[in-house]
Amino acid sequence: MLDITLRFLKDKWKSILVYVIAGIGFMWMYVGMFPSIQKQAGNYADIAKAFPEAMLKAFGIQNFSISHLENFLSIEHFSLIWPLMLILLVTAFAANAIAAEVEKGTIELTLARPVSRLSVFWGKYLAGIIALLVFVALSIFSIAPLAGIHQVSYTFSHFVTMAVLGALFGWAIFSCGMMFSAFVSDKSKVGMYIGAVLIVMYVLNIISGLKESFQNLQYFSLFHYFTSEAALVNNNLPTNSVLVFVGVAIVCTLLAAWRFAKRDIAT
Amino acid sequence: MSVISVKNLVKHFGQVKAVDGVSFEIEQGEVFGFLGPNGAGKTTTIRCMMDFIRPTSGSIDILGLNAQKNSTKLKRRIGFLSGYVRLCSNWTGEEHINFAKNLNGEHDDSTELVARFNFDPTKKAKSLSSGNRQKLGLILALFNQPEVIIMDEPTNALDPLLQNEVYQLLDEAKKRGATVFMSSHNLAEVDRVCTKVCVIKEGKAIATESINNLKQKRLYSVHAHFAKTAPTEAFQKIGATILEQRNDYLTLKIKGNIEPVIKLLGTFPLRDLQIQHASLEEIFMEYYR
Repeated sequence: MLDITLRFLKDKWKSILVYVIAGIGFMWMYVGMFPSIQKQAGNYADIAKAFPEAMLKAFGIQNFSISHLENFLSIEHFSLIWPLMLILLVTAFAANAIAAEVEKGTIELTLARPVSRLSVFWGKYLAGIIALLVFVALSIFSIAPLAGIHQVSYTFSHFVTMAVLGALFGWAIFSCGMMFSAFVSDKSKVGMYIGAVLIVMYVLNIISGLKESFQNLQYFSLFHYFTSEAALVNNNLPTNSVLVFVGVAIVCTLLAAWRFAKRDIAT
Repeated sequence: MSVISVKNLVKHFGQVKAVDGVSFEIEQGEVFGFLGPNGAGKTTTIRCMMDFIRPTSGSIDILGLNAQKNSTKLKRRIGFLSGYVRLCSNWTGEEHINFAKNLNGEHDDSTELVARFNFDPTKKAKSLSSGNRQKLGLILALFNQPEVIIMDEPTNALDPLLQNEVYQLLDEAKKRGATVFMSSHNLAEVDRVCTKVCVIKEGKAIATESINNLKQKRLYSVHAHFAKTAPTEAFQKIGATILEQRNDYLTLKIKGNIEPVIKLLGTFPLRDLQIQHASLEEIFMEYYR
């Protein structure tokens, strides 16, 4: 199984590197901008008051304040750009793990060898989890040297909480992607399905804030549970977020493993 | 005990019956040819044997073990070559071989095979010609000295010299007791390599016989050059098939007893006459039609 994990990581290390560099680059840009933004915090807060509450909620912003780095990053970086990068990385990994190999027929190189389908599945799954953790760790904990360079104060424990929340969110999305990847034989379909599911979830999260009668729709959206502001500003990891992400990840992973073990590999 | 035993194998893809009740047995040391036109169900049968796809019904036993339940254990002892060799385009040949060795490397003949095929393992798969891809596929299938070799058109895209190299490798495998199952469209290859064949058509096995038995099928070609106009109708009346007809010339195909045809030929003045046993190709074409 480890041979499969290492081989998959070796094939994809350039993609991981690109995402990590982009993640660090964005973090650097926001940390670099923060001292000048902080001086204008009052003006920005006034501007934010003019925005509809639902719009701010759609981006995971409960209380607009950029007086601290954590507030600023939760609004600017972790409300959209960072989760988007995470989603793209894990979806690409999931699509390449099974569906792309079935589509190209290269899965036969592995399946013709004495390894069980479950070993192949877990080998690739582990590679995806490693890629996810590398991206999360490097893109979030890069705050330590970057804050030092720009002499910005921050609380490390808040970033640890954010990393845990991000990793759990990424795990859920990756598992969902692996499930689609195990069911179809076309890489592009994985992207299409996961994209459609996430767009629907995103829309549900937005419209749940528009009208009180739609409020319960938020519970069907993973974005509702991605509480970056609570994690980064309040150092709070809500139990329901953990339970939902872990639950979705486990259910999707088991479905994916079962399907891959049973399916026909028809190319 | 048979090394490979396929019983009533059925594989449906929705409404399509790709394989519909195929059965055959292969003994140790046999080189078994699996023949049939495109879409007959050859590759589907092979993919079921490799547990890439699961049979709708029926059973496949290899080396006494169920091919579905013991797939992982069996693949330690099986060498497989796909009909179209799929490779990771960014890997070199060496990376492919090392990956396979890491997963299944009890024996390692890869260095010898690389030399025999004159294969450059440093090139990336995306830059390999179809012949070189086939060479790499063969190396991956054979490096581990497998007890059972399953190949889907093994000499596809290879030049005649390399085809001979493959035949020699199969002969050597046979000598060390390996059993070979191969599909092929190349009837000369089947005649050269195989000891037994199964002909499959529209998902059903229509004949399983030794090559020698097939060759002894009573199928003849008759080329008759008459002194006058060829008496076509007379030959049609006794059941001969007219393959070619010119004014004074007939090519006939005769199935079964040839005696009535010889008697009838004797009643006409002839300029030239040639009677041949049908080639293996002609015999197979009989099954294919």
